[in-house]
Amino acid sequence: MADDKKIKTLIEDINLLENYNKELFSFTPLPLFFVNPMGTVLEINPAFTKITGYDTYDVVGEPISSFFDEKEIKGIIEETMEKDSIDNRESVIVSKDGEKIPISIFARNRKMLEEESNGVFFSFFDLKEVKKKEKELKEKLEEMEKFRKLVVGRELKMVELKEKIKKLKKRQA
Amino acid sequence: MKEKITKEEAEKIMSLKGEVRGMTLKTDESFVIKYFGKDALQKVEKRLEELGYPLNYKEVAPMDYYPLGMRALSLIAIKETLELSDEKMREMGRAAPRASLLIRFFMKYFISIEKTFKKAGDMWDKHWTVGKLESVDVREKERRVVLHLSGIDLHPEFCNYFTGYLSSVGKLATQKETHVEETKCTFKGDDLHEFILTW
Repeated sequence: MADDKKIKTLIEDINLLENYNKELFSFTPLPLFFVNPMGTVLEINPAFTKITGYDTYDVVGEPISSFFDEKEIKGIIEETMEKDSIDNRESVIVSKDGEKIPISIFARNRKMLEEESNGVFFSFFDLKEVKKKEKELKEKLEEMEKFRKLVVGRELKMVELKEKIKKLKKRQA
Repeated sequence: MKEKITKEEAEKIMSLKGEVRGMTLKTDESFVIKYFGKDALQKVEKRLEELGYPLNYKEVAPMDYYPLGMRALSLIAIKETLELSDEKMREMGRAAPRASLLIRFFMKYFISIEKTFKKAGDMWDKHWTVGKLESVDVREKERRVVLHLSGIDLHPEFCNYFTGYLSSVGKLATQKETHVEETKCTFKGDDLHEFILTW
């Protein structure tokens, strides 16, 4: 194959791979973002935008502490680079409109050919619904507990009253 | 209001030797769609067609090479059609690295200020087949970097756009707002373009 043709074929292949990469990155319903070791956001996917409201132009190039607690996220980045990965770490992300969204973070250290880390991939689950259900469940349990205490209390009162009546009847007899 | 570019001027620009990667044109597409809508992009495409160099942005392949002049014509057509100020064009330049594949290509360089600027030449070479970008003075402590761009005389519109572009790359590397000034320019009689970045 002539060099020109080889180059043309290689470019076509790269374009196909790039399209595939882009489509996969856009398709996944899981929010993804990439941060360099200095804590600068370098890439986000559409699912990230859907949940947080931030688009590429809002966050790429910005410090990750713009939407996370600085100390906490710095710790997570350092820990990920040290251990290579972190799973299921609960945290809070602040959306563009200021909403604090509870999330569960997954992070992976990214190394290229050289051993040096060049950043961290992040993904997360939105725990908003889970937390909402948790809260509802907790409230229900508290209500049931109150009801139980009330019913049991009444039961005990009834027993006590019955005892009193019994004693009175005995005395009268 | 500035006069519009003529077909002859467009032809002269298109006769420049060299090629540029499609991803540079894709960043124009995403900026125009995001801030002005799809209709605006159609107007830009119509203007390029009038100039004799039609371009369908949607069909541009990011990794393919396109004629060097197309890079300048795209910027000129966008500026003319949407009546953008110089500042807005710099803003377009600032937005470009954020929407570009460049980020993925150069993630490994954005790990320190020194590494980012020392590899500026590599970044240029991945996009362009002509010209040379060199960091001639990197002073991290003084928060100042000097870059030289030589071997390319595209168009003054590109110089303006590129100052915005470099300020965004500066911010990616430093996390600080980066000011960029073009202190030398081949269109002002200098033998190269010089950009000073401070943050």
